[in-house]
Amino acid sequence: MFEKLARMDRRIIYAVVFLSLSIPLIWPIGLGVTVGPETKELYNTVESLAPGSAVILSMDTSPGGYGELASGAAALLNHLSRQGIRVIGMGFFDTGPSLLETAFGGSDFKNKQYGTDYVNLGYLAGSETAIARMAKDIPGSFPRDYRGNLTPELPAMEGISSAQDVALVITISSGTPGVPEWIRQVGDPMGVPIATAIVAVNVPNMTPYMQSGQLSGMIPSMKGAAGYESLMGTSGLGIRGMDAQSISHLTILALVLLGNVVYLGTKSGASRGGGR
Amino acid sequence: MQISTDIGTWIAAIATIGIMSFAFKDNPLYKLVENVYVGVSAGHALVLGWINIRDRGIEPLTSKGDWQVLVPLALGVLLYTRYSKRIAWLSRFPLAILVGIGTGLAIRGTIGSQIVSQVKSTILPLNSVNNILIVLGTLGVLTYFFFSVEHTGALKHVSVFGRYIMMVSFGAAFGSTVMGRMALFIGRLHFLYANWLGIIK
Repeated sequence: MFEKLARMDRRIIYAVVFLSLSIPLIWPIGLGVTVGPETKELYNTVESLAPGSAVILSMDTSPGGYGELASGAAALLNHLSRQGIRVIGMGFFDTGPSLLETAFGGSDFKNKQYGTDYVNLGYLAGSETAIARMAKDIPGSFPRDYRGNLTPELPAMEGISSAQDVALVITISSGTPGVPEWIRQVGDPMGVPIATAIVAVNVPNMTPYMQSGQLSGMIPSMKGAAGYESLMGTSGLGIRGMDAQSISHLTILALVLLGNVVYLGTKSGASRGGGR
Repeated sequence: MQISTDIGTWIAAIATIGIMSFAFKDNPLYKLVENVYVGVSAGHALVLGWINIRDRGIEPLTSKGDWQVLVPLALGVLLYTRYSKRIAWLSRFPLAILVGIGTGLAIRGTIGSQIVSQVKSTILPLNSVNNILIVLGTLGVLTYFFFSVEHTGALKHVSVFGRYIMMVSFGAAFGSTVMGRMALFIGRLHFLYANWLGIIK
């Protein structure tokens, strides 16, 4: 039996994982959502911002990472909208600004005034060097916004010349440049609080920045988004996806255990059979 | 159930299914979608690159007479000399400037943000389980990577403890990776079921 399981077509495993994600998504079970301390810290940071203050939201991700970050970005934007915060969007990935347009369109900002309540300044090439340049002179780094308007003429940019004029920087991050670059060029030298919504694979690497106080909050993947939505008392893709996330994790756990049992079973079978 | 009538949603749905179909078997739809993705990404990057040069180089020069931008523009043009063997050496100048500025900026920030601040954050009072784990874990991992003396006696135990701490970290990284991949898949499935097929809200 162990040999048969060891030779099992991997597509059966794909099908099992597919079903473990699809069934709870179509028929939700209503499993609970827990809120991590890093998510709560970001929620409290946004909650403490004064209405009318400005926040930089940098979409530092590609479409591959955005699928995981969309729920967190939407929850954050909805909260910023509810607080009456001006959002100054930008991106240091070339795909960032177009994803930012998608994020604005999928949040409460779609009912707000572009140019006054929020703005998308577009993409600046140069990775970490570009972040350092932008931090010193935002209108000079982005003479025109993503939609072709002259940046200094936009009401949302009133009183904003450098990164020191914003209350918070949020990077929606899946790679480089991301959290370390923002901390190195803006957070630590300028004293501007940095927060992030981040892909799960990077969470263990970024957690030390939370512990050192260099990050003012973090939304780790869809789990963090679900927690953020529950803090806001809303239900978005984060909460809707958590049942599927939990069931799929149980499935993966069962598959890892099964894989080990099969491995040990085939190993002991081979030793009993004289190593054939 | 209300299937979408939006052509953009249909294209995105077919592209999603095309990419996911690779898990079953390599097929022409997967290849088509993959090639379209690469092509669109390259085109998108090219257009944004041009907008960067236009807004930050050509426009200030032509409309404001800002002659300073001629320096980065000229350096940018020099990058393309690598396509000619005779003058390829000229491309080393802008490359040297790019590498120098990038490295200088990164090192300046790294020392303060990633060495000093991180070391400071591990100097903690041993008054909670978390603090004890952070301090001992850091010391254990640092000992594991200390190769100047042989790991015997007490040093061996500290080093083994450091290895266990790293194993926990690798486990956390693997668990996070699984969580991330599942979240990505959930995002696409939600798009297919909600936006395309309309079987969930």
